[in-house]
Amino acid sequence: MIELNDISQAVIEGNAKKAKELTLIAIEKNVPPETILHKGLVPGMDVVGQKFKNNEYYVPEVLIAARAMNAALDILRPKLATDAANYKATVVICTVKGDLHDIGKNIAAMMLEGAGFRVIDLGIAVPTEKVVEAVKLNKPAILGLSALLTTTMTNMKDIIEALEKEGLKDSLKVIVGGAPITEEFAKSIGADGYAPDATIGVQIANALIQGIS
Amino acid sequence: MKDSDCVKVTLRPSGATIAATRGKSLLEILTGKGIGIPAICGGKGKCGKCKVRISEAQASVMPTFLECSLLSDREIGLGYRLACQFIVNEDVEVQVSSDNKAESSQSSRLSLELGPSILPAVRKESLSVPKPSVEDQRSDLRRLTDGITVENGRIRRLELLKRLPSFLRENDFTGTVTLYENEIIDLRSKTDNSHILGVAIDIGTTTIAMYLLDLENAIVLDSRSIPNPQSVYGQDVISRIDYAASPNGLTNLKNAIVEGLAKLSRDIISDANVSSEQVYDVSVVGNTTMIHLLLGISPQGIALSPFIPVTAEEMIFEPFEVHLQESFPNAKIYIMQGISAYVGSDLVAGIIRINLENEKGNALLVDLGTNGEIILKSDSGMLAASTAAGPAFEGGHISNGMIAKRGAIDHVWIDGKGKISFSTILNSVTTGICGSGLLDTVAVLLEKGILASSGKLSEDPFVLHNELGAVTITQKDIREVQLAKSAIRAGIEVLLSEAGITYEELDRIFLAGAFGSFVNVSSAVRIGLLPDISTDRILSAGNAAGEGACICLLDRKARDLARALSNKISYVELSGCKRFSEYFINFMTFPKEANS
Ligand code: B1M
Repeated sequence: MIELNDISQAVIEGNAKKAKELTLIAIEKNVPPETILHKGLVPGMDVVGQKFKNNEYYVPEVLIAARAMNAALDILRPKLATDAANYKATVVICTVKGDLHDIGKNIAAMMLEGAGFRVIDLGIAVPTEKVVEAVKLNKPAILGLSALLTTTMTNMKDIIEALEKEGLKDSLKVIVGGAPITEEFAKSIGADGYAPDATIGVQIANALIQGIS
Repeated sequence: MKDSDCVKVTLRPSGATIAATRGKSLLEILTGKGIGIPAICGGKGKCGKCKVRISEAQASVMPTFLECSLLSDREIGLGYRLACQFIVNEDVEVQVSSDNKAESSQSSRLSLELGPSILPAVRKESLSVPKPSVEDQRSDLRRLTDGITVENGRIRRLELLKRLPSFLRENDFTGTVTLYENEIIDLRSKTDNSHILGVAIDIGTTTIAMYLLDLENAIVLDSRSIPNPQSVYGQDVISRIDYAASPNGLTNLKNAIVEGLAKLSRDIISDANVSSEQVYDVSVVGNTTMIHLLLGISPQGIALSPFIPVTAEEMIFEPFEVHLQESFPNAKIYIMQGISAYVGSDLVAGIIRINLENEKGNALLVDLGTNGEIILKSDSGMLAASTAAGPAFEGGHISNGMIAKRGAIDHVWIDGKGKISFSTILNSVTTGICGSGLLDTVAVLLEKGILASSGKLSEDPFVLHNELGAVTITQKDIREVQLAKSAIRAGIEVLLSEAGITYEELDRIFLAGAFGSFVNVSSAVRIGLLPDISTDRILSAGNAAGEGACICLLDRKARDLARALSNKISYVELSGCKRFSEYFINFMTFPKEANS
C-alpha cells in the first residue's frame, strides 16, 4: 500500500505536515490504525534510527523526524485499541536524580516509541523513590535510565538497589545510557544492558523482551 | 596648550581619552600616559613591536615606508600601524595590541592600560613619631597609630606587635609603615627603599596564571602560567568535585594548587630579582570551584542541582590561613567576589578589565571554555549564564585533538589556488589539532561543500595534510563540535532573548580565555558559534581575568566595583530552561552560507 510507504517517508524526512495528512487519508481509506503504526510509522523511525547510527542523521534530524512521528501518533492514539496488544512492551524511562540533561533520554524514548514500545517518560531528575513507585504502578518490562554527569551516574546504582530491596528487580530489565556510562559501569551496578546510543537502546530492548517472554 | 594644538586620542575598547599635542607620534603620546607599548627599538621603526590598530577614518592616512616594510598589506588594510610612525594630527581612536604576533585574521587584542590614577589597597607611609617621655606616656602602638594619617589605624598581626618596641627603638622612632587599608601590616626601616609588590592570580581549571606587579610604579614586572597541577585528578570541574569527595581528595586538590602557586611565585619572584617579603597584596580570581579548592572548602554543592556554592563572596585572608605563607609571608590574600556556582570571579574580573559596564550599547563577553560563561550587557542591565560546552575546543573528545601546544594545527584556510592549507604551532611536525584549528577546519569544509550544513561529512574521515604531516577529522569529531558550539550559541541566544534584543543589535562581542584569543573569529561566525555580526565588532579580551585581578591590585575601587557587579548581574540558570533546549537543537546545524 502506497500510503504506508509515504508515511514512512514523511517520518524519515521529518515532514510533520505530510505525516499527519497521509495518516488522515489512510484512516479515511479504512486502513486499521494498528497497520498505520506498525507498517508506516515504525518502519520510518527504523530508517531514522539506522541513519542516526550511520552518522547520517544527528540530533536535530532525529528530533524533527520524531516530531513528524508524534504528529501522526496524536491522530492514531485515540483510535488504537488501548490494550497492551498493540505494543511490544512497556518502557519506563527517565533521567536520574540530580540530572537535568534530557536530550539523549528524549531521543532514546522516541526511538523506543518508534520501535513499537509503549513509553512512559517520567521526565528529568526523578528521585529514586519516584522511580520505584512508577515501576510498581506501570509494571514495565524495561526501565531506561539516563545520566550525563559523573556525579549523577551513581544514582543509577541506588535505583537498582532500591528495586532489589522491593523485590521488583526480577520483574524487569534495566537499560542504562548517557555519555559517561560504560559497559563496565553498567555491569558493576547490575544493569541488564548498556546503550551507548539510542538505536542500540532499541536493539537491546528488543533482545531483552525476547528473553523475558 | 591652545585648543587648536590639542587632539584627542580615544583608547578602545575602554573608551578612555587622552588629550595630546598635535603632531606627536602615537607612541610618544601613549607611553607618556604610562600605557605599555612594546617598542624594543626605541621608536625607530625597526622592530615593528609597537603595532596598534587605529580607527577606520584615520587608517586612510598613508602608511610610512617603514610601516609598509614591517606590516603586511592585509594588516595595513585592517588599520594596523606602528605607533612610533603614526603622527597624530587629528583626533584618533586606537586599539592597543599587546600581541605582536597577532595575525590580522585573529581577533584584535586589548592590552593592559595601567591608568595613571592608581589607588592600591596597600601603600607605604613614612613615620616619625616623638620619643616617649614622662610627659608623653602613650603606648608604642598608640604612638604608632597616632603618627600615621589613616584613621582607626590598627595592628592585627600579633607577630608585628611583638616586633614593634624593638623596631621603634632601633630606628629612632622613624621608619616606613606599610598599610593595607587601615591596618598596619609591616614596619621597615627608613633606609629600606624596596618597592611594594603585588601578585595577581587567575586560577583556571586548565591553567594558572600569575602576574607580578610593582605597585608603586603601576607596572607589570612579569607574568607566567603553568598547567593547573590538579589536572591529574580530573580534567573538568565536575570530575574534580567528584574527586574532592573521595578520602583525602579535597586535601590533595588543595595541596596541588598551593604547590603550583608556590612554584610559580618562586620562579617569578627570583627572576625579577625581588623578595617574596615585598609582596603585600595578592589578588586571586578563578571559577567558583577553583576558589573552593584553594581554600580547602568542599565544593560538593556546586555539582548538583540547585548548584549552591559555600561562598562566592569577597574574602581577605592571612597567608597562613590558606597555606600561602611560604610564597607570600607578608601579603594579604584577597579573593574577588564571584556571581554563582558557575560564574566565578574570573568573569567579574573580565568585566572589570574590559570595562563592560561602560561599553556603549549592547555587548557580550564570552569565555569559551569547557564551561562557556556568557555576560550580556544591555540597556536593561547585565545578565550572566554558564553553558556546558564540553572539552571539544580544548581538543577533548576529538580523535586527534590536543591543547594548543607545539605541533598542533592552529590555523586552516583555503589558499589562493583553492587548496586547503594549514599551519602548526611553532611550525613543527603535525601532532594533532587544537581548538582554533578545528574551528577553522569546520569552516573550510563547509566552504568547500565537503561538510553539509546538517553536519554530515561527505569524506569520512577527512584528511588534512601538507609537508608538516597529516591529521584526520572524523564524523564523530564534527558531532562533538556541533554539541559544543551549539551549547555556547544557545546560551548566547537565551540571554539575548531574556534582554529582548536580537543578535543584530549587538555592538560588541569580547572573547575571553585562551581559546578566545586564538580563535579565528570569521570561522567562529561561519560555523555559527558566534552570531553573525561584522567581525570587526568581535574583539579578543586576551587574559581578561588575570588582568582584571591586576587592576584590583592597583585600584581598590575596582574591588568595590566587583562587589557591586556581583549584586547587579542577574544569573540565568540554563538547566531546566526550555528555551535553551530549543535553541540548542536548532543551532546544532551549521549556517548554510557565509553571509559576508
Ligand atoms: C533506554 O535508555 C537509554 C538509552 C540510551 C540513552 C539513554 C537512555 N540516555 C542516553 N542515551 C544514549 O542515547 C542518546 C542518543 O544516542 C545519547 O545521549 P547523550 O545525552 O549522550 O547525547 C545527546 C543526544 C547529546 N548531548 C547532550 O545533550 C549533552 C551536551 C552537553 C553540551 C550539555 C548540555 C546540552 C547541557 N548541560 Co551539561 N552538557 C554537557 C554536554 C557536553 C558535550 N559536549 O557533550 C555535559 C554533559 N554537562 C556537564 C556539566 C558539568 C553540566 N551540565 C549542566 C547543564 C547543561 C544544560 C542545561 C546547559 C544543557 C542540557 C540541556 C538539556 N535539556 O539536556 C549542568 C548540570 C545540570 C544537571 N544537574 O544536570 C553542569 C553541571 C554545568 C553547568 N554549567 O551548568 C558536563 C559533565 C561533566 C562530567 N564530568 O560529568 C558535560 C560533559 C560538559 C562539560 N563541561 O564537560 C546516548 O548517551
